[in-house]
Amino acid sequence: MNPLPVLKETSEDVGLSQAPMGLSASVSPQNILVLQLARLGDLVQTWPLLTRLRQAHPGARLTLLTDHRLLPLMAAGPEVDEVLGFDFLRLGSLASGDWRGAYNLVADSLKGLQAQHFDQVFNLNFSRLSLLLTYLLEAPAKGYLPTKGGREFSREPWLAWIYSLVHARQFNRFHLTDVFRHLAPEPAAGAAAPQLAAIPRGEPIIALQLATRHMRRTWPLEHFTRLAEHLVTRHSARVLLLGTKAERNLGEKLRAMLDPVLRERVTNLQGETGLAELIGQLQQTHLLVSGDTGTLHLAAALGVPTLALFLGPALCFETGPYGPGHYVLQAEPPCHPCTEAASPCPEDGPICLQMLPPDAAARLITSLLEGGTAPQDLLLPAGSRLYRSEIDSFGVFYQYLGEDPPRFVDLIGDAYRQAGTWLAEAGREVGEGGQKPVAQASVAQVSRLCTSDPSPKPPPPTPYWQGEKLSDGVLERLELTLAVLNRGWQVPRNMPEVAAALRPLLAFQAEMQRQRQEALFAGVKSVFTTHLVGWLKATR
Amino acid sequence: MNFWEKNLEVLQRVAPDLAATLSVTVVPEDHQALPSRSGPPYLQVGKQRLTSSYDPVKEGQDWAQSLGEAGGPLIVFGLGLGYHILPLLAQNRDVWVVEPSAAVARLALEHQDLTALLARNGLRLGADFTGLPKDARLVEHTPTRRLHPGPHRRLIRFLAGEDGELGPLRILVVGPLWGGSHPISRYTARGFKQLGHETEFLDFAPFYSGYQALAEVTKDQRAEHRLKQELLRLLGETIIARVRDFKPDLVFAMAQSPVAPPLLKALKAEVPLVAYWFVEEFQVLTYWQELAPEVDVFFTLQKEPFFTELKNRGVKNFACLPLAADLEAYHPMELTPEEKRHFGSAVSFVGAGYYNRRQFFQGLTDFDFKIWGSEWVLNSSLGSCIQNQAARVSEEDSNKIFNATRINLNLHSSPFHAGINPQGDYLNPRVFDLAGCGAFQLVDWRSHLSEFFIPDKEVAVFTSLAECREKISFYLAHDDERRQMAAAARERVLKEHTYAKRLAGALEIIQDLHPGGLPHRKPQEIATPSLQTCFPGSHPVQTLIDGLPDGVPSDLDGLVSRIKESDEPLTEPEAILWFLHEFRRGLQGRGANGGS
Repeated sequence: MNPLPVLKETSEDVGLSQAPMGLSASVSPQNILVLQLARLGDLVQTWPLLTRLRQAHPGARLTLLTDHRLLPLMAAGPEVDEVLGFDFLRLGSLASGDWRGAYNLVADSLKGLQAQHFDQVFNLNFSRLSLLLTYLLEAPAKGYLPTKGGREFSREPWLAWIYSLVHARQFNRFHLTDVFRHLAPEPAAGAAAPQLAAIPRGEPIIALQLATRHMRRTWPLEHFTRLAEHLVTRHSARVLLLGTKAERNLGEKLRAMLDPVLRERVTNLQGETGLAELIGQLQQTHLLVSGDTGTLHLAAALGVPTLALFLGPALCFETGPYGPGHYVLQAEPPCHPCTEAASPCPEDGPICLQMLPPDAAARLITSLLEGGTAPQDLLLPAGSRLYRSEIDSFGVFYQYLGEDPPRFVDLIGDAYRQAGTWLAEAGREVGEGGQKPVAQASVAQVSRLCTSDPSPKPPPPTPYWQGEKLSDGVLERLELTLAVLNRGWQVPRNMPEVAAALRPLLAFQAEMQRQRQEALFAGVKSVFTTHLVGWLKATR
Repeated sequence: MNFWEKNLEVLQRVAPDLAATLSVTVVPEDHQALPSRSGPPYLQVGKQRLTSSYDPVKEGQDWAQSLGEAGGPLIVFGLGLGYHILPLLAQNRDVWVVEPSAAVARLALEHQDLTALLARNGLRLGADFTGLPKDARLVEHTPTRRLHPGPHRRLIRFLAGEDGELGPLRILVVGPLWGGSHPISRYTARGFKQLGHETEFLDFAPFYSGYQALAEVTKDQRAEHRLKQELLRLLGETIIARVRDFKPDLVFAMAQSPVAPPLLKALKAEVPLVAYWFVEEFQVLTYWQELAPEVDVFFTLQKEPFFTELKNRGVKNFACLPLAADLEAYHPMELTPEEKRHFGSAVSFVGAGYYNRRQFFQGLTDFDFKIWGSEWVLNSSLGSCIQNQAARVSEEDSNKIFNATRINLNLHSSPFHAGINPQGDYLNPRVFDLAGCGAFQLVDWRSHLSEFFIPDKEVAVFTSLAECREKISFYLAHDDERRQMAAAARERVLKEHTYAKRLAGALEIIQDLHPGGLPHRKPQEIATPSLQTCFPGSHPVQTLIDGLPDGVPSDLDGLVSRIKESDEPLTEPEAILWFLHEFRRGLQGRGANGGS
């Protein structure tokens, strides 16, 4: 029996995009509010946006509104003029009976915000709560825009683009941090990406974040245990176990599985650190090993080297450690990336759980500790990949460190990234140019952007496969993709990959039609196609 | 003259109906009067000892003494073998005895001189409380109370002045659009009707083809999903509309019915009690997680570890409610020779081709074996056994097949095991359907089985393929035993496993968990104060509440659903209320999950 789906609120109906996407170019915002009401990881991944805003609008006042419980985090974050905390915890206790108190808390917070007279609000959360707040602040908004009198959402084109990639996540090469960053204009001078501290050889302090928020993303405890054994035995490392109180049983179990001699070197800090202490602890750590968690993002933001273990629904391109020089071991079975609510894994259980062997992680760390780089010949199970993060002019990308030839998904993913890079800028320029309502971008404007050299910045680095011969299968799919795009061919049934590759484009097209921004779609399609054609030519 | 005859003589004079009942009472094997160490017999029911096995006489005397000297009428719950009653009778006290089990009463009358009790018409059986004085002191025979907590509570309620009999209730049974729980929902409605309650069955089967047709309307999966959500939302509205019209005392929702948390919350404001019957395997289908906390009583087929999972999610009002047999759908039938030939065989199975069945049945293809039902792979080693190109079998045809087959196999499904699931607990509908037909059943062992049927007396049981084959061979060769067992199963079903019986028990459970919840319709007392009382008259929220049309509840949910209906730009109070509503929803959905 298939269970019937749960009723959810739909908030996709866009209607007219009358919402202003930003101020007209002649006036730069002076008083900016950034709304980030989600979790720790989301807040940390907002930091580069804050930095960018500060650089792009050096004279403006910059305020951040976040969850009250995350305020201690901001001590380690970029400098803003004010950090406000919304007291969700208190609202929770009021909402169980004291309706007047709850109403007044919201009304008073709102009044305080309204009194600041923000002239631009960045709504970064796809949530009804932040939408309502944004609406009530009545300032020009960026990000998720309230429409229809505050009842509906609209996504500005850049977010609509990212959202369209949800249809085929395997092609998504946009990190959440960069999604946020590119909501803000390009600053005159970019910030240098923070370099990672080198990991010392003797007695390194290595932290292990044992749990993630979902079973499917979590590396098995036995693997962590084996890794801990290796680190202590081979490197005399001091191992710290991180997590919340609720996860403490994992740490206890891990320690119990260790030899008593080794156990001494492994300390369980789960549930013992508040946010401020966690920051302090991470700053003392030489390496963090973690799945896709807030701790991972925090460590990366603090410049701590990380080894990330991504499996299940976690995709490093979207939420990997941000910054140069981090390593990611990612399991990419045919079902990757799945969703947390996806249909059950095949009978034998989730395959990805066994695709990141602890020995591989151990070898990798040993190589980093002893030579500063990854080993040349790291043996991984088929379908698992090792990546190293790099920064280019757009943002972070993950360089594949391996010998496999390029796959169709890699090429398409990169094409989407190029197209997105174009869009990030075109969307802004279109928004900021002229007195026309921003809803109408003229084809002429857009085609100018297409054909001329779009940016004075250095071009993105050449993909690792540049110059490599593409396999016949990949070539065939590439050609087919182009044929469908350019000549309106039908996708044959035995090529679901090609159909998948086009789904995001088609979704974006439909959305841009709804928003009457067809020229933006024409632009991305053009860039996308150009890149595919370029590779075909190069490879022949 | 022995005890029984002596007692019976008195009883026939004073309470002839009771005498008649006890005369025909068959004492089951597990009820025994065994010699105690000191001589007089003690009572054992199953694994429970109801009296001391050492010196039951002394035990009874001690108990009677512990009651004290105070006079006044006494009602004793539990007869046992009467040892504790005799001292009271000897003191000439005004004593009545309520015994829930006829078998125990019969045994007592066979082993004890209870003429003194019977002469004053002091014995009551089951739920017959006629003539019991309401001002009497109620005491209990503890082992009996432990065995029969429900009847004990019923007696307490009766004495407290609450009408023990549930007056006819108004019950709305909400069914699914399709699937295995659909027949169960029909049987449930029928069961409640048989109990005398005014019952309506809200059948969504007519919407199923519409629901399916939505898949043809668009290839865009997301658009299709939205359309389906709209349909489900409409069906939810239908339920509310029916509820407002019919005004039931109880909404009884079945697994897979179109009730989602928002609807269940809306229902709470409209009906006194909402029950849900989750007739699924909780590990395979996990949608119970969001529904269980939203209903007043959550019925399951399984016990542990499901109960722990529910408790961990803060659900308190849950109970196990096993399936039953609907005798209108499944009953013994006379078949024509043509039907016997078409539907009959030595061995048969009716049901879907789950993985474990596809594997297990390969070990039986040398028998005259017919496989009926859908999702079987025709092109396989089972192919020659599969009937009708693996077409679905109607209820009517199932009945015929069960009647026509000599050995009906019942292998509980599992998507994981290659045969029998050694951890299998609950019983599937087929266990009861077969027994209702008076058909011989060979079923895989399940941990709940012996509570319902005596293994190898009422149904035959197997724990391995070898045992299954052995028993097939045996019972094909021993027709008399086979028929006897089938008849015994039918007897058992008639007595204990009809839907009427089962649902009567369900209503008891509902009453126990929500005393006073049925049948009097009370305005639903919410733990939190009403929205209206929180705000002064001049507050904009009051204006909004005043603007609500009749019938819309003036709580947060009602207000916000009204706000959502409009097209006008949100005002600040409206937006704040929506904010609170959304926030509370998030809290209820997420539980305590703060930053990262």
